Amino acid sequence: MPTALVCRNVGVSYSSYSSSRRLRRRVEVHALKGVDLRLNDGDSLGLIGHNGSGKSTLLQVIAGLLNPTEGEVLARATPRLLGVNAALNNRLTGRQNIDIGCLALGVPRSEIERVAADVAAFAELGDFLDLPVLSYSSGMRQRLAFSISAIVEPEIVLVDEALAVGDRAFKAKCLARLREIRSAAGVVIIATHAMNEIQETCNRAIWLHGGEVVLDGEPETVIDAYEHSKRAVNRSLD
Amino acid sequence: MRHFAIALGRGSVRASNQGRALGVLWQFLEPVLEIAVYWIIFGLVLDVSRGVENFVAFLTVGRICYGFMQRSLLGAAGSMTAQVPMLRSLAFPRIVVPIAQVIRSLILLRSELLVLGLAVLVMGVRPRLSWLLLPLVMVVAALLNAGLGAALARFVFRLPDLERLITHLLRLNLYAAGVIFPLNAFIDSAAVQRLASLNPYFDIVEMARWSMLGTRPDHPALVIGIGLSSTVVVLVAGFAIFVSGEHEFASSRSRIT
Repeated sequence: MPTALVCRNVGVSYSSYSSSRRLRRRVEVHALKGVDLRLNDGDSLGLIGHNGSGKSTLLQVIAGLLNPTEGEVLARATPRLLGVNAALNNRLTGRQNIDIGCLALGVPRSEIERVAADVAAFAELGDFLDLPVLSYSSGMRQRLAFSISAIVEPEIVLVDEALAVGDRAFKAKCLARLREIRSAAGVVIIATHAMNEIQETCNRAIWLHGGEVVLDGEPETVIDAYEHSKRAVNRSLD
Repeated sequence: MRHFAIALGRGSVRASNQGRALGVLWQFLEPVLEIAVYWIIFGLVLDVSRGVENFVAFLTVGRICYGFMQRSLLGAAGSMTAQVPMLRSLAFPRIVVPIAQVIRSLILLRSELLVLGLAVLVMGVRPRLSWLLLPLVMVVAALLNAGLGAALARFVFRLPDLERLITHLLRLNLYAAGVIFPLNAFIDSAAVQRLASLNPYFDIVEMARWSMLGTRPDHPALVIGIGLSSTVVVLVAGFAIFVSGEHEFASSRSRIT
């Protein structure tokens, strides 16, 4: 199988100001450290880790939305990020956000109307479509963001927590759409807390902690080790 | 991408009207109220002239014209820092973002020009054919600020503090461009007028007044020549500065903002 995506010693660090009661000092934060990765056509990788472990940062770097401070990412095609965190303008209506999102994703003007109607139908927001996003619940917001980002069918697809969307019926619909996108794509990377999803669809998994790869291998093995460490932490808290 | 820029600009206009009872009517009310204040203060209460015929009309045309440039430039300069979440989730040519802010100002300008035309009629200015040139002058103003705004957007993204500084420089330029008071009210010298024409903001304000009020600048050739040529230079250079640094917008430093 030909190689589709390579990450070489990828690191991301940024400095921020920490404000404690006494002093304000510059802190260097390492979001990712020395991540090496090689994916072939047909690979499906699951990213596992706590909040803040670097999953989303890694996806942003691979998508080219964030420059790594160290190392490099090489990809055969432009990886596209699909997710529930897409930027929505809270003061605009759902429909207006859909139009802007479609144009940003490069949908040609002649097809906007058709694609926007598809997205609106998929999101199932009913009358809320013509209300500002401000009035949405967080679940509705995620549904809208996912529906917009799911119109593309890229060769390398990155999925960020997209499976945490909405109620059971809507979740099933998202999964079906994801399967379609995946079957069309060469490479898939998913960051999620839903272990069963990784177990069912991935042939490889990576456990990230503090921006570093702790374990890389078969989904079964990696998930077991991760769950085990979580149990250990919970025990020590008791 | 053109349609995306327009949609973003229109979106930000709609977003600012959202949640207000009068909604889109504010696009007309805003300039009406602004001009009414000038008229009350300078026309009725103070009755100043500063050696200018119809000072209120002089001030009104200058303020509307300069206000447009101020809003375009500040909007464009701060646009990249304001859009970090979008930059983190979507890949598209980044130049669209500052351009959308200038488009936003252009959308708002339509109603402002309408109000301006009516206002100067009320102030006793005779309508003339050269009014039709004002939209052209404003297009030049839009291009100038798109170019400068794009360049500044790159630097503001690197150092957000700059945005504050720009706000005050624009306020200072308000006087240098002779928006509030004509420059020769203070220093009546040909040299100063020539020097002022080197400032494209002065040139554009002069051109706007020329078309609306028929007040010929002291050095018309300088005003037009420098106004237009500096716009072309600033536009090309500004976009070049922005595009050559486009990768910086994916820099991890921006996570702080």
